[in-house]
Formats: sequence, structure tokens, C-alpha cells
Amino acid sequence: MTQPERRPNHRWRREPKPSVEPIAPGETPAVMEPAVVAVGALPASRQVQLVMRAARGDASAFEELVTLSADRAFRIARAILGDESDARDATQDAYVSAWRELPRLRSYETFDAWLRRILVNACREKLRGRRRIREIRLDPALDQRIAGPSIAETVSDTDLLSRAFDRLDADKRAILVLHYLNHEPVAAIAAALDIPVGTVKWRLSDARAALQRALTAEGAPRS
Amino acid sequence: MTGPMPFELTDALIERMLVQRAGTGLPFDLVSGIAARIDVTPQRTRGVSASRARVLLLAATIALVALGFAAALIGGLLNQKPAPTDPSSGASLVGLWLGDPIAVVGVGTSHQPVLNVFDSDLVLGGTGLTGAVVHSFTAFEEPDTLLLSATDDAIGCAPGAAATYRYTTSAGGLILTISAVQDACPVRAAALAGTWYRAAATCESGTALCLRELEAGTFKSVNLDLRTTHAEIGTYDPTFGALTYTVPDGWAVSRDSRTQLWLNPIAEHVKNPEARERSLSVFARVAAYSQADGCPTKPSTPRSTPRRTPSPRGLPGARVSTPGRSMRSRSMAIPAAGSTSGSRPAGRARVPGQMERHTRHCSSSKTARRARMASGSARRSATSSSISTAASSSSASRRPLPLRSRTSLPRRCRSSRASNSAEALEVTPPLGLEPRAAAAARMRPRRRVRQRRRGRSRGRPEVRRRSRESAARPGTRPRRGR
Repeated sequence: MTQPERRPNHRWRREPKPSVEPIAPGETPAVMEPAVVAVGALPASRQVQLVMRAARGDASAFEELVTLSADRAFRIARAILGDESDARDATQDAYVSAWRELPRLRSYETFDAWLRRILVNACREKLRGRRRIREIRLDPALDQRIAGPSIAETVSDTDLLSRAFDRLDADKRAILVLHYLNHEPVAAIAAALDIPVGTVKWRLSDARAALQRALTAEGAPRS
Repeated sequence: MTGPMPFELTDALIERMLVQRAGTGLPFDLVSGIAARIDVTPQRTRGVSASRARVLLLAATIALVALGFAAALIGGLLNQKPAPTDPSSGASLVGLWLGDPIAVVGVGTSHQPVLNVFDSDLVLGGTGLTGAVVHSFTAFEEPDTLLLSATDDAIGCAPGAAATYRYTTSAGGLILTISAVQDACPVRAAALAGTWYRAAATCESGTALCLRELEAGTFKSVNLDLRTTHAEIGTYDPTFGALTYTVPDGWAVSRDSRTQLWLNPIAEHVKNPEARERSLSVFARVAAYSQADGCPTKPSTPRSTPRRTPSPRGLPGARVSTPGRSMRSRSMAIPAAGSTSGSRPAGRARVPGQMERHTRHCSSSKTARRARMASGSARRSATSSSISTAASSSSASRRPLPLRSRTSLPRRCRSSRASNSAEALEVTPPLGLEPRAAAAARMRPRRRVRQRRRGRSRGRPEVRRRSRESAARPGTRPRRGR
């Protein structure tokens, strides 16, 4: 006689509380996909879980988010500011602000864009403070558009461009960095800077034109 | 005569310039700096808007009225039937209880059985079992008597099989002892009788079951796994009772995971469960140093656990058993000599006999690196005379389970220095530190290692000098053998 098959009784077991509501097969997830690709190639659902835990005060979850995204954030800050120590300060300030304000974040899926916005604001603050402290003096020799040795012979193109970039304001720098360094789509930049898509396109072209003007001011010959 | 070449601004040029500005690599202390700052930064609470508050107030009022009607209705219905027993007498038992591993023929083996007591029935099950070992209706006849009536369980007790049990709970209600007075189903009696420990309501993330705030007494680890090797981590099964420890009143389990068990004074635990400054910790699966080819080794450092044992034996007041392959668990007693407060004197002192050896580790994971800092060892934060640590073998497991085979782990060589070898008691930063400073102090050794490496490789004497100064500073870990 065979023993009747018993169905496992799970009443004894208390599963860890899921951070997100389970989705039934075939059901469309209630949350929207994030506008920005999840940091550090982290699956979006995993990131949302980490953000939820961090929003409830779990510092280890936030530390994991930091570990995964700090590299990218620091690169953005450094590209905008052009200085490692300033970039480090701005990145730290941005993450601490994010940690403090995280419980107020309404949509956990937009964490990336939200963090990016905080980071850009931190860079803006840093630039503002730097302007109060010192002014960048230009070498008068570079401002003279006289015939002489080619610019390419004296400084490299990227150095010249970098100096021209330093003449731009924070908004222009940020939009150029997000577009050219991070290759983020316009929609993602719009989410990160909290502006409409059309405005992003306009500002992008404006920033590029401003960079061209700054180049001219730095002494580069007109194309 | 030709003028300067025109400068053409291209996308590729802008990208190249930005990549150059962004640089490569992350400052090594950025993440740790952020972690230290968030440790001391409170989060803001989510505010409720006025309109939302109005809606919530209205909903709460409606719910209260509905509940009142429902309670009146249900109360009227219940009054028509006689109540079988007074459930309040057994209310103290309601909840989850953890017990020693069990093996039931035909049902399976559970390393972490759980007794779930409800108002009117109880269920005994666990991971590894194909069903409920015990499922019976309950009634409480007297304050210490439990009446059972089997319903549907996996051990084949006849439906309605009656039993009488006597139970006692400890003063703090955390330890439940059940003994059978009479049971028509002997398998149920064997499974149910014994000592059970109340599981905490909430555990750290990733852990389903744990103990938290403790009362004075002897308790057991819930998830710590002392016997599984690195190679067997994938087959990890939480084992209750791998470590038995005795604490005075006022202690809490801050972490009980596969690899670590932290005991903290309750005040510290409530303040910050992640605090390590005053914690007493046990680590599992620790490699004292690399055994991989190419990694330099110190011949004086023993490789095996039995040969490492003499080192903590030298500590005053420590009792260390001779571990053997047949030993399943160890016990550690924290007797309260003269004081049960668990408090410790301020200041930092070194435990006599503490060993610090330069080792090289072979792994890449943070967890493994932490775990390697002390193998099967206790970490404590001060040398209070009121608390002493002892280790002795224990055969507390009711049903010892077969040991898993031990295999060596191939690891990549990683250059680093560990400040403590296996079996060492370690002193952590002083009690008076601010949380932020304490966090910084926690990270200091790793940073110092990097500074030292950098200083050596680049030949920067000032870095080495700074490192020596920081080592001599109070609040940093003393160093030997430099």
C-alpha cells in the first residue's frame, strides 16, 4: 500500500517579507521601467528593492547602492568640475543628501534620475563656491589672435577644449557631460535635469555653441 | 602666408576631452567616506500632505465605525456558544519558537525546526521536512498545562489523538520548556518535548528567523554555520544551535548569519544594530592566511584548527576545548562576575596575549575578507573583568547530524595584511568615540594598509611616517612585528 502524497504544510514557516509585491504570471508590472538604465548593470527590480530598503533606513542597502553607482557618479562630477577633490566632495555631498531625502522619494524607479539631479546640483554648488573663492585668470597671450605657431603645436586639442569647457556654466557642463560622456538619451537627460525633452535639445545645442564661443575666446582659430 | 589651422569642434573631440577630464578609477576612500557620513546622518521622515491627511482621517473614521458594528455582531454570535477554554492562559506561548535539529523517519531532517503556536493550534515544521511534524489543536487547562488533539500531521498520529503536556517559560518569556505528561502518539512526544527559543519579530534583511534581545541565560545561534567549508557554501542550510552561548541580562543578538554572530549590549544594539565597537563576535570559515601557491606564508602560523587552538588558550580566563572532527558545536560562556549590566569601562586596553600577525589573504569578496580576520574566534571590545570569554566543547545538539566533508578552497592571491590571526581576541576602538569617528576608526586599518602599500611602492617616506603615527595614535589598533 502506497503512502498518500502529503502536501507540504508551510504554516510553520515565516518567509522574509518581500520588498516588492509579487507579480502574478501574465500580469503587467505596476511599476514603470526606469527612464535611466540601472546603475552598475544592476537589474532594475533589484535596484528598486535596494532603494526601498534604504528608504526604510537600511544603511547597508544604501551602501550597496553607493558601491554600485559611485564610480559613474564620480566620473560625472569630475568631468563637470575638472578637479578630483571637488568631485569627491560633490559626490559625497550628493550621496549624503540622497540618503537624507530618500524617504521622501515618491517613485523608487526614478532613483537614478533623482540621484543624477542631486549630483548635478551638488556640482553646481561647488562651482558657485569656487567662483566666490577665486577667478580663473587667462593667459593674455592666448587671447591674441595673431599669426604664429599653430594651436595644435602648443597645446593639445583636448587641453584647449577642456579650458574652454571650464568657461561654461554648470548647466551647460552638465548637459554636455550627460550627453557626450554618458551617452544618455535625451529623455533620460530630461528626467535627470527635470526639464522637458524639447528644452534638453535646445540647451544641448546652446551648450555646444557656447563651447565653440569659449574655444574662440581661448584662442582657437575659427573653423 | 598661412594662418592657424581652423579648430573644428566635433562630437568625438568633445567626448575625448570629457573622458580625459573624468579620469579613471574611484578614490579608494570615497565609498567608505560616504558610508561613514551616512552613519551619522539621520533620514528625514516622509511628510503627509494636508489633503492626504484629511482623506486618511475620513477613512479611519469609517473603518472604526465598521469595526464597531462588526465587533458587536461577532460578539453577539460568540456569546451563543460556550468558549472551550480560556485562550488568555496560553497567550504567552503564541508566536514562533526555534528548536534543536530533528530527524523524523519518513518526513525528513530539519536543521532549524520551528514551532508555530497559534491561538487554537500549533504546528511544528521546518526546512527539509515534507510536511508538518506536529499539527494539533490546543487548549490550556491550567496555567502550565497544554492539551493537544492531533488533526493532520505528517507523522501519522491518529486524528484526535490526545496528549497532555506541561510547559514552563523563562522569566523573560524567551525560553519555553515542554515536557510530555501523557501522549497517545509517541512520535509527537519525541518531536515536541524539549527546549524552544522564542524567535524575534523582525530580523536583519535576508534572515527569516533570529533571536534578538536576550534575557540572562543560555541561548543558541540560529543561522551560524561553523562546519560548512568554503566549497560547500552553496549547500548551506541554516543550523540552529551550532553555537551555544550564555549571557547575563542586557545583551542582544545584532547579527546571526551564516558566517557571523554578533552580541551587543542592548543599549548599543538599539542605538545601532550594525555597531561593532562593543560587540562580541564569532566568525566562521576563516582562513588564517593563504594556502595558495605563490602566496608567501609564515612558517610559524599553524594551518589547522587544532594547531591554532593553543593561541587563545593563553588568554587569561579563556577555556578552549580541543576541537575534533566529530565535534558539531562549540559553546561560549559569558558569565557575569559581579555585574550583570554588560557595561564596560571606558578606554581601550589590549587583551594580554593578543596575537597580531602579518598574513596574506587570498580572496576578493568583502565578506570573506572580514571573515578571515578571526577564525572561530571571539572579538570583544574591552577588557572588563565582569565579562570573560570561554570556549568549550558541547554536545548540546539533541540529535547530532553527520558532518559534511571538508575541502580546500582554491583562491586567488590578494596582497593585504590582516591585523589579527585566527583565534585572537581583538580590542576595538574606545568607547568614547563619536559614531562618525567610530566608523572612521573601523575603516582605518584598511585605509592604512593601502597607504602603506602606496608609500612603499612609490617610495614616499612621508606616507610611511603618517602610517606609523596613526598606528601609534590612541584608538588605533596596536601593531606588532613592523
